[in-house]
Amino acid sequence: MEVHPGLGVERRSKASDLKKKLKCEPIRNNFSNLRELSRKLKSIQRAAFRRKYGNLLGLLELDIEIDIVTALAQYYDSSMRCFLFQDFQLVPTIEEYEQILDLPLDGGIPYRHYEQHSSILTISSITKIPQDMLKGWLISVRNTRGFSQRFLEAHLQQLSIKEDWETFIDVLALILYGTILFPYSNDYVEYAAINIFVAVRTRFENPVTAVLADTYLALDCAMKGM
Amino acid sequence: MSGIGDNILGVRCPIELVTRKKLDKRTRKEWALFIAGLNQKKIIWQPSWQQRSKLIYSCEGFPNVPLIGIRGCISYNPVLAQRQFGYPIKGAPIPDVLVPFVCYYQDGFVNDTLR
Repeated sequence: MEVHPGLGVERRSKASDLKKKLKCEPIRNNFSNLRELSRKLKSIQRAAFRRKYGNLLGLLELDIEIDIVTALAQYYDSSMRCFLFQDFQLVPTIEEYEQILDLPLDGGIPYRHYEQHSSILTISSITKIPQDMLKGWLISVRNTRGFSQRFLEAHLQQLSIKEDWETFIDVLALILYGTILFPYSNDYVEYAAINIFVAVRTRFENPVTAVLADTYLALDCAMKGM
Repeated sequence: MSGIGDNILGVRCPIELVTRKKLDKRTRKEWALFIAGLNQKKIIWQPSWQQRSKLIYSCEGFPNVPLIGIRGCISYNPVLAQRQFGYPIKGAPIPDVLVPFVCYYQDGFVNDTLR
C-alpha cells in the first residue's frame, strides 16, 4: 500500500488498477405491496414507527439504483475499506448511517451478537403469528433459516384488516429488516435479520453499527466472489 | 456520505434529499463515466444535513474500529474519513491502524434446533 503524505491515500499504480470488473448481483425484492400497506398508517402511527425504528419508511420509498451501486462498487478498495477515486476517498461512516436511518447512537447500546437465535416463542409473541404456524413456515436458503417475505406480508395484510396497528408496525419493521437493512435472498427474511430485529425491539439495541458492518461485509463478499 | 450536486437547505435527513430531488436518468455506462470523472472539487464536503455529533474514531484495544454485524465482524477505518468529518487530512495514517480484519460467524444453523 502506498501512502502519500498530505494527500491521504494515493491510488495504487495503474498496472495494479487493471483488476477484473466487480460483479454485483443485486437482490431484487418487490416492494410495491409493502409500500401500499405502509400507506395505511396514519401520520401519528408513522411518527410512532419512526420513533421506534427510525427512517425505514423513508428508505422503503426509495428505488434502488442498481447501475449507480454497480458503478461505485468498482472503486471499492477492500484492504483500505473505502472507495478510492482520482484524488480523494470516501468512507461509509457510522455518523452518516445514524442520519440515514435517523437512529442516533447517543447513549444507546449498539447491537451485540449472541450465538443463540431468538426463539419461536418470542417471534410469535411479537408478531402474533401462532408458534405452530411459524414452525411450519420456516424455510431454508443456503444454510440459513427464515421466512418468505410473501408469508409475512400476508400476515401484515391481515393485521391491517383487523386494524391492529401496534402489531402491524412491528411486523412491517421485521419485514423491512429482512428485505432492506439485511437482505440475504429474494423474497426472504433471514433468521439473522430477525435476531437483530428482536434485539432492537426487546433490548432497545441500536442497529446502526450492524447495518454499516453489513455494507462492508457485502462488499468484502463481492470482492472475494463469495 | 458527502454529497454531490446541490446543497438543499433545511434538509435534515439525506433520504429526504434523494426523494425530493430525483436523480438524473443515466445509463450504466454514463454513471461509470460520471464517477470516473469525479474529483475532490466536485464533492460537497459539508452537506446541510450533516450534524456534528460525537465521532467514533477509534476503539480501545484495537488499531481501528471493529464493527459487529449480524453475519460477521469487520474492521472500519474512520481515520480515512477525516475530510468527511470536516477536518483537514493531517498527513498519512500509520499503516498499522489500517490493518484489515474480517471474520464470518460459523453458521451451524441447519443442524441447530430452534427452541
